[in-house]
Amino acid sequence: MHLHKYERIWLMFGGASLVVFLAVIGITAFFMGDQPPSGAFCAPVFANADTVDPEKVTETPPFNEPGIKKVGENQYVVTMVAYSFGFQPSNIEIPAGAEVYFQVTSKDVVHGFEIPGTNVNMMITPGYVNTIRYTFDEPGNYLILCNEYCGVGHQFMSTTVEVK
Amino acid sequence: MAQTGLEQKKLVQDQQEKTEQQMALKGTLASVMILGALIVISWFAMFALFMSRQ
Amino acid sequence: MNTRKSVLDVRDANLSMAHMYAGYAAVFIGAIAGLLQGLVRGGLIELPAGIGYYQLLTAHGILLALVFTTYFIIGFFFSGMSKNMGSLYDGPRKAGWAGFYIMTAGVILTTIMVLLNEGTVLYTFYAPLQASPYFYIGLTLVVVGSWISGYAMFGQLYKWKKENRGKVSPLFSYLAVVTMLLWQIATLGVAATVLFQFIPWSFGWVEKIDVLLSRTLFWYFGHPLVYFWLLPAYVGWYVIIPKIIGGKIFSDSLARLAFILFLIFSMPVGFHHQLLEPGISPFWKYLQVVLTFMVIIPSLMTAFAMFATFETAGRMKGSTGLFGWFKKLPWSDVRFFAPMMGMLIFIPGGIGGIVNASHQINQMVHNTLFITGHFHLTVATTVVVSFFGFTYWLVPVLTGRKLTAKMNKLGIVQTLLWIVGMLIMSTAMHTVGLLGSPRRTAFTTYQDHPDAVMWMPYHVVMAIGGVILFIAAMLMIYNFIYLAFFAPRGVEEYPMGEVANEAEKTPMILENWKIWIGVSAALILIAYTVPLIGIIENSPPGSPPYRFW
Repeated sequence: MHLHKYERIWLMFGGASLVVFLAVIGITAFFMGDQPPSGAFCAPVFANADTVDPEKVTETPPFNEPGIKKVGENQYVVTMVAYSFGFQPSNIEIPAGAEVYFQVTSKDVVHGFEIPGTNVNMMITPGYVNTIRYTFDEPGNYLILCNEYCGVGHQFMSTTVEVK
Repeated sequence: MAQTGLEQKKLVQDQQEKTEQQMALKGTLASVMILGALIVISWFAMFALFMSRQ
Repeated sequence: MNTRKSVLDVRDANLSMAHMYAGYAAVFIGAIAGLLQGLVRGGLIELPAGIGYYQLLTAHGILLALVFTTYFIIGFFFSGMSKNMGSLYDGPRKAGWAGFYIMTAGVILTTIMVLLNEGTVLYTFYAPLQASPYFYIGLTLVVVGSWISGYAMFGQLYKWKKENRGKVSPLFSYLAVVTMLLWQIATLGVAATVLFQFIPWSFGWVEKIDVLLSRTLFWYFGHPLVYFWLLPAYVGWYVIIPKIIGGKIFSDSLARLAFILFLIFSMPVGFHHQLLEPGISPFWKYLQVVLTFMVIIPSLMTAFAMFATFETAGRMKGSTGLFGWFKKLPWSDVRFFAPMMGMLIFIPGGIGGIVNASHQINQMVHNTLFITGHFHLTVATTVVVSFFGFTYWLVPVLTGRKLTAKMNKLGIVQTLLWIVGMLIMSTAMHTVGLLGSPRRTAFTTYQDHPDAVMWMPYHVVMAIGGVILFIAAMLMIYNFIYLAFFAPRGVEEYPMGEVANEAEKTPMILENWKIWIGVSAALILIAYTVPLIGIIENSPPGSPPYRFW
């Protein structure tokens, strides 16, 4: 099969660009820790397992006691349960500059967990625990919302983080 | 036989080179390169936005 | 009927046209749903009691993304194969009708379930939200019908090859068959989850469902699905456009090679829709991201082939300079103009796709309106406007009528309206998506949270774009009806392109289906075996059904 010289140049340029993109995201993901949320992988202070019986969430530690726990110098773990149509605990408060680990599961359907304007965005699948880390440098009121359709009240499913 | 085969092959090659010259595709190369530049610029802009939010 | 002249076997034209009627009926209802959604989200109207926003959203997604596309693709392919080979054989034609009726039964069943509010689960129907079993059965029939139509096309090519030993298959037919083959392999995933998980679970035969497994099987299907939409547009670009602009097909073999690359690489990439999900390790996600990037290559090849076709045709007409050919293109011919607009829109559409698939960068856009903006460029513009562009000559061909000068003008207006409406809507979606506004969400200000209040003007702009799009869709329906029933009788050309360089023979290896199916299967196994075993072995107890609507 014959490729025109210019097409070879183009495909080499295009291919090289793609390799560069892959290298950039690969290196930042695997060597600098910017991995997409994939379960309990990110939390250094995590509870028991990656999975939980979705019908026994309220009885299973740590989700039997949703809330904020201080685990280090300005370092917190927020244990959260998502449900149609809300998050528990709701309207949490955190000091500015705090490094926060969110560990979240769902007790019913699939939900999303997103803080607009940040990279905090992950899927909450029933049966699984998902985790994400974020440092709240700027004080203010942050919105947490569900970005996966979860029923007729999906648009009401939100809460806030007050960073002081 | 082998020689004629070889000659034929050369003939085909010559023809191909000729058609390649006839097919002036400079505009095509320029167009795809503009496209390539757009891809690279946009991707790095989005990557920069991502890093600024990390 | 005797006065009807056609460049196609009338029996094949009728089969193809049946798909067009069904497809455009879906556009009509789907566009109404789209308009209402846009207005609700923009806060401009409230729905009367009894109709839900998410119900409309389900109808919009199913009717436009699944139903219109599938009907159009199958109808378009049957017409081209008939043109390529003189006529369809009796067997394939009968199978084509069987496929059509089964699909239509499925569409009607699913639509009824959605209208009855028994299937408000959106077109991705994520478990453990549970619709009526008949919703899933309807969708199953749609897929089964499309399978039978696919077999019809395989049978057609097989029989033609037998009668034309040693000959290379005609390009259109080859590309159509690769697309339908891709569809067969892709739909195995959704068939598995619907038949073995959703249907038994929705009938109550089993109590629980493995949510992650169902999502993984769905997305194994969900990404090649978008290539099933895109490739028929590419068929038109590669084979039809050269004829319309008075040029030749740039390279027969490279077109075939591009399609083979799509067949191989569009399958093992579903994790890039699950990048933010628990239960799949980052390593396997990244591996599929790499494979996703491989599937960009054939699109880069296509970009080159398109520009080369344009430039060569322009130079044949005497253009000079670097970009002189650009002016030689038949901009006032809707048969060219519409697909060309589709191609141009694929530039931002494709770039957005690369961003979305970029592993952790997905966190910035996942499930925001950025994604909605993205696929309204790719599917709802690049693909759909190309299909509209094909409709302007295909429907007259099928009904034995002419595309008149006036209809050509109206077609250009219709295309421009669509493009303008979409640019307005999609730009607002991309922007507000980066600001965090979620997709698939009814009107809300999140208790007047300042972040969300800031999104409201963008949502209004989206609604304005949506209104323009609705007008463009209704104009398309008018144009379709005119071309189908009222345009003057005559013989419209079926613009089937010819190959430029006859000297270069098409390598027969491209017709060796065993090799390509084998390579495709191998890549699927590499990308999915280990993570799938992990998903099944580590699976938590399943989920019972929920119905939160």
